[in-house]
Amino acid sequence: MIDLSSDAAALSIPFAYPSSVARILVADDAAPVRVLLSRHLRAAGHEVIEVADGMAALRTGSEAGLDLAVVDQLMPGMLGTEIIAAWREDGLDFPVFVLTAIDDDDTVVHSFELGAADYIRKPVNMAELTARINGRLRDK
Amino acid sequence: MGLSLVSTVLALATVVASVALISVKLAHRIMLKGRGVRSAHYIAALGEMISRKLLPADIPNQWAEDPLFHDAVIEYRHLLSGEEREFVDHLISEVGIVEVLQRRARRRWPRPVRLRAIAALVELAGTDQVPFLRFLLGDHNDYVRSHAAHGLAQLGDVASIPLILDLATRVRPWEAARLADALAAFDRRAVTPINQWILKHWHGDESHAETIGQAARVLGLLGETSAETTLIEMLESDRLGWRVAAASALGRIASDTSRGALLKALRDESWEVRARAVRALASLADGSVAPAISELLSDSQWWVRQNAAESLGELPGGVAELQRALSSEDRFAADAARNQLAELRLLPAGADTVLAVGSREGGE
Repeated sequence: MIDLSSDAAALSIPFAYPSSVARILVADDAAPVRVLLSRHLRAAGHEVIEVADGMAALRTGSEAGLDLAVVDQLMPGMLGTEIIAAWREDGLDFPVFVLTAIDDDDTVVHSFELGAADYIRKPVNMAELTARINGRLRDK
Repeated sequence: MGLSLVSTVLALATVVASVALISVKLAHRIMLKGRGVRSAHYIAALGEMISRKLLPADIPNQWAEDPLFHDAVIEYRHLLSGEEREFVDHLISEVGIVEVLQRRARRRWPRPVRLRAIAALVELAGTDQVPFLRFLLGDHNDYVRSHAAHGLAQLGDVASIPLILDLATRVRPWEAARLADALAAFDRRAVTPINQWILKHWHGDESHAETIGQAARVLGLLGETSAETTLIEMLESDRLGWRVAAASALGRIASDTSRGALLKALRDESWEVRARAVRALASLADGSVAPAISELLSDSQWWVRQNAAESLGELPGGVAELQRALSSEDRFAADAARNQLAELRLLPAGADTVLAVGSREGGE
């Protein structure tokens, strides 16, 4: 059976690690997204906070001193875009990646208007998403 | 004495029933908790395997058999692309899930097991499952058949399109509609095979004629202009069902090529065709058709008048036609125009808002 403990070295991640550790929120009601993305981000050295609904995401973003957030657009409680709008209204300007299965151009445009850093459609290439997040953190 | 015995028995029965109910409830809760824990375990274990791209040396037999494991794999398969998706496909093959699902999709299993298996199979199938899914098109269970059709559509097996349409000619209308919906999932690749099937069965019997109507609806959903020639021919045919389906489909495609045929259809003997042709013309967004549509504000059928008014509300120059119709001697035309202008909040101040609803001729 596989050793379920975290072992970053065992993960083959085809990109450079960021220069510093970041605190990242992964908010998605789909457990596989949280499990897999968190593993990739932790393997890249980041601290990851996982939540499964919109209200918890909003609260965590306001209180946890985040460097970056990945939010699902369709979550119980609040939409991803509503969460971004609330954070921006509170003066929180950390980069936010919107992750969604919705193929709707209006939502994409709206997300960027609210200040989203990127908009990722599912299905997702996790290695690429992690590389984008690291790239964004390096540019910050 | 007798009364006391009856009360004792009743009290005992109540206690026994309560204990039984509580036991069932507890057992159900424990079962649900167990399922939740198992599901969470599978999600975590799969996440581990996928991120490392490693399978355990000894794969537990229960994975292939457990529907909760299948659900977890399906979730990951939908989520991922690239190398990780390829690894999930490798895992499906190594664990032997598809073989288990194939076995359970066969007739000897109870219906709920079969349906769950075929639904999962459709989600996990690769092109090597095409023959099996085609085989299931001949199943005695209608849900299995339509699931199989959706699976073939998901795999993009266009060679199955004539088989699905043939099947639609032999089943009840609701299932034929579901099969047609499956065809829409093929996307634009379906247009040519559907077109060819329609032309091949143009002079077929009544069951073929009904399926051709459904196929026309699908062509509209697909929205490809290459389907227009066939649809225009259907719009000019003697069959009412075809004309209705073709008018709606041409409206969805919304290309200038169909303008002439749709204008002609405004004079169709059937109000159903006229109503749909009016809406289809509105989707062309071409103001030059507004005067022709305006004439239908005086149609004998309320539904046609209503559609004509709505279409004029959307077309360039249409509002001017509606305003002109306000002073029409035809009370029905004036009412339709007034209703639509009120909807658009463009009704002149002081205009009469009382409407006359109904058929001026009492139906066709």
